[in-house]
Amino acid sequence: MTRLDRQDRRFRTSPLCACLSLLLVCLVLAGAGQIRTGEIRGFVAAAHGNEPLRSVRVGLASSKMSGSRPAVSRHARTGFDGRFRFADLPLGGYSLSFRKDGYEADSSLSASVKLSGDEPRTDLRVEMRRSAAISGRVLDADGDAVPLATVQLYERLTAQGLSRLQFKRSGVTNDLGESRLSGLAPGRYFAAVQPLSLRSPRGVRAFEFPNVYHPDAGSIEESAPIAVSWGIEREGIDFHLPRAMRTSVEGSVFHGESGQPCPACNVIVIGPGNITVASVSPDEQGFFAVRGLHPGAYRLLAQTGGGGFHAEESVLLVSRKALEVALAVSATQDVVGRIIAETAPPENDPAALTQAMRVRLVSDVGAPSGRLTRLPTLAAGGEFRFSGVSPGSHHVFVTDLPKTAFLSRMLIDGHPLKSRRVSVPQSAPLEGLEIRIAFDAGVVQGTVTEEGLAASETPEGFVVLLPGRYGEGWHFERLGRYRREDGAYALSGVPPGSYTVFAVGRDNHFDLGIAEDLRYLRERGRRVLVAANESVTVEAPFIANRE
Amino acid sequence: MRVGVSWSVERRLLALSLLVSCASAQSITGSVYERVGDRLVPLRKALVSAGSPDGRQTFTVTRTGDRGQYLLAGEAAGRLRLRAEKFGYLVVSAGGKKQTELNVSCFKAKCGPFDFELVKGAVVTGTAVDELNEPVKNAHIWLLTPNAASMEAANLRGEGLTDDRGRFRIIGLHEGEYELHGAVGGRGRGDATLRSEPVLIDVAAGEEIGGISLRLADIAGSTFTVAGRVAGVDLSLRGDHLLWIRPLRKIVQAGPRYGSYMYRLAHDGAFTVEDVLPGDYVFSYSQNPRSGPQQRFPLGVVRVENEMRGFTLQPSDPTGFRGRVESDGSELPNHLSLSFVRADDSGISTRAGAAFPDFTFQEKHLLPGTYRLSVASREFYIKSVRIGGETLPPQGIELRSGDIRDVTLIVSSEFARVRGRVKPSRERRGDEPAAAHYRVGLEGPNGIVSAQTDQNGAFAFEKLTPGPYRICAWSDRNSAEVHSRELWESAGDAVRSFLIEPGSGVEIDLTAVE
Repeated sequence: MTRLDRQDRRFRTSPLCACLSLLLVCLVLAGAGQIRTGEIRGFVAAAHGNEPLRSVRVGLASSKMSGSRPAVSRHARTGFDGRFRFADLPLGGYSLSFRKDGYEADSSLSASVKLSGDEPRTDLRVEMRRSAAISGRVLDADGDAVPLATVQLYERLTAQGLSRLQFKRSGVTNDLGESRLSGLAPGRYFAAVQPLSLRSPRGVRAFEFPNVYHPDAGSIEESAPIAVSWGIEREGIDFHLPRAMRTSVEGSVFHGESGQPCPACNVIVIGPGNITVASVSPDEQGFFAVRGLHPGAYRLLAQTGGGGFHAEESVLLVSRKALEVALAVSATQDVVGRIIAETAPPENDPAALTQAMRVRLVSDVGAPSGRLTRLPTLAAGGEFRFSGVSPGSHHVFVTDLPKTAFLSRMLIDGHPLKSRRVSVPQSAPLEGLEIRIAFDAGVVQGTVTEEGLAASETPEGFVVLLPGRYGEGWHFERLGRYRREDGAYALSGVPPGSYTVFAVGRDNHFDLGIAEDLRYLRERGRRVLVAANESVTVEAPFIANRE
Repeated sequence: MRVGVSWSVERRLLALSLLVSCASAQSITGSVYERVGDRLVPLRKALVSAGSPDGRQTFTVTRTGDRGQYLLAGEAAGRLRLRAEKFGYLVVSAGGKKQTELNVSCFKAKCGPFDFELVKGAVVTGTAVDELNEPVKNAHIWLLTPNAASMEAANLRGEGLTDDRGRFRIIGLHEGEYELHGAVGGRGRGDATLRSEPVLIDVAAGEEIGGISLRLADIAGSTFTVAGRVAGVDLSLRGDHLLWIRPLRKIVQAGPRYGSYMYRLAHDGAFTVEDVLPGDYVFSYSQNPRSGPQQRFPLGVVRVENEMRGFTLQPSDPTGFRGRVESDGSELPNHLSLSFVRADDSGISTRAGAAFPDFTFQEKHLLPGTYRLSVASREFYIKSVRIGGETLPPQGIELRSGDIRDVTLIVSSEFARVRGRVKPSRERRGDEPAAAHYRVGLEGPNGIVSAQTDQNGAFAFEKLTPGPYRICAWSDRNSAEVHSRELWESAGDAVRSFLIEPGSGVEIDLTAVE
């Protein structure tokens, strides 16, 4: 789980597999004769100990394919002693996967092995970490169990200066009001109870209880995160739901131009923290009503499924008051722009001109907006166009830049933007968006060091370059992998400037959106100054999670 | 700001409390009780709702108070369906009868009381472990009627999944005997299929049975590998080439979730499917080309009763129906969705569309068999089927292998209705002046349907297809019991037969039987 690695796809690990660096013990077969088959066996244990893990599902697949399938594909389970064995395997490369319920946050570990004439047998040792779990009860004001309540976990992520709550997992309470969310990776989670809605006529969503955040807060800002580590079971995470809130927002959704009702326009209610708390489909007359939410500030979005129409309104729900709104939807808009190189690409980066870059628009609620109809390249003039963008504020992200380029600034109609935010108008396309990139980047390279540990024992993770003033201007964190065997790393495309460099583990707990975490990381990292077109070598200290 | 509350769909305010806020409001009252042994005690926080008679819409809901009483406020506008429920509870009776909900007619300022009796369902909890005593997550646990020969007879009574500790909790069970089953994994997708031997349990109403340990094991010899090739299809087309396998009928020991599975064919059409339970399976092949619609071709029905390797399947000769839809005078919508349903107990149905302007259709990938043709619409039905010069009902249409039968489907929107009133039997008239909440059964071209009388003994069946019908009323039967042949036979002369013409309404009064 990486809090510092959200947007950079180069370093995103597969959702199912994470590669381990395993200790290989190779045994050479004695005896003469040509060896044509080999064997892979091993032992799976609980992390930080020697306790054998039973019933671990081990999958094996050869690298060689037969048609669309691996030539060799087998499965096994570890026994009482935690051991497994695949025998009589043709020589060649193999990939193995290891999966056990309740371990490694429901992901599988993987390893690659090559069997050759010189080394036809391989003995592996695999360690698996027990997942975390959060459990508790949901009770009403009388202390009675509330069944069928949905408990949700969110994790706050900050990437490229944008913080948002990302939904991680949910579960439904049983008849005793109990819920259990398991298979969690270490982290800090915010827990919420999704309001219970009652069966209602079309167009109405009525909640018997309001949305509540742990512990018993009415908004995400007032709630406290729940920290878990590997193997931790946090029990007693209870919710006490107050009595029904007599809030009400109702009204109609209609097309602004014609005045006709829009029953196809779904109404979404977004609460504090940009969490969706309710959605309702209006009836045939475009009428909708949402009742029983916690008092507070909300945003109402009305939009068609295909993204053709959109309306947005901010409302304040007050207890015992009914609020009437009229949502007039208007057509979505296009956003047109260009990516322009401020400096010429270097000669050693010939692909820079033809690199297909990617632009993304993300709304305030963290949802992607619009469809990019053309991937810009510098050779083709850098033009791009989005269609189906909802009017309002959006963040602009640019990825897949040439490896020696960096984002310099953004402009609208020649005027510099102070942030990556643009505002799409209601009734006209947004044109004239310029994204400027530069090629006089530097390179930061070196090794990851950790006091008291050999490089090969450093946990898997990545190197982070934090700019001097995080979040200001266009410079945000930059991430890169390091080699576990020697800790070596190299980050290219670094804009000139001052940075703090450090390394963190894949399951780090740090959030760059929290000032305290930023300060902690800066104090333990190493300062480095990067000049244009120059390479600098610096050690990156590994920073472990705080206990 | 709107004031007042109404049942009709034009007013949409929802009552969440027991308040009556408008001087002109009507009310429906009653109580909900819990049966505890021989006693009835008020049940608090039960949810009571009022909605349309067909159950499709809910108008208002409320919860019972500390004394188990409820009040639904609104402007009464005719017939309603009342429901009482509480999670983990079962409805024993409604209105004093073996019903789970109540049809009422409310035209006065106050209606009721309409009472409900619920009982706490039994609970079964336990843990599923494998042969090494390790907990099994996401194992499917289900309960059936013991010793059932078929899934339909087995009557799935409850099901659930295990959590990461292998634990399960199944609630809301009627008292009685059950067979508890468990299974995880399946179809050779990398996880071995583990199953449990069935465990027989006997639960009393409201009882909680805990500590059941279900051992899931790889039952050697109970499943087979099916490996072969699909031939006679163009595997060079770019796109996905898929093999689909589904049991022809549900398999009891496999559980209710053992359904259709998809496998990708090798480049030469080869496939290997592991962990297949014995039974009859429908094999089909589908092409999902990069451009163009998906096409699915039946390969036939294969009986799996041992290891099967090296066999070849190829698409059956085109078999099906083609033709057009005509109206008997009603205006057709732009599109009609047609269903071809096999008349056996497989429940397999295939859909095809007929659209404006010519309403032609074609479906040539059916299995041979006997079919019932229908239209998926609440506004139309198939009145008759013209094949050659013959006019036939839409049921029982035979299809042989290689046949493409040319048919004309005559659809109509002229439904009929049956309404009436039930009188209590002579034995009950002293105690029950009206046949409140009795059950009326109606058997016709589409099988048996039933309706409940309101508190005055009135009933109604709407949107019926014309044809011959039989009708009978019982004082205290639920909707499931009315499907019993024996029940109808024992009613004797109380069963009335009649014919319904298209577009007609029939008024009929009945005397109930016990």
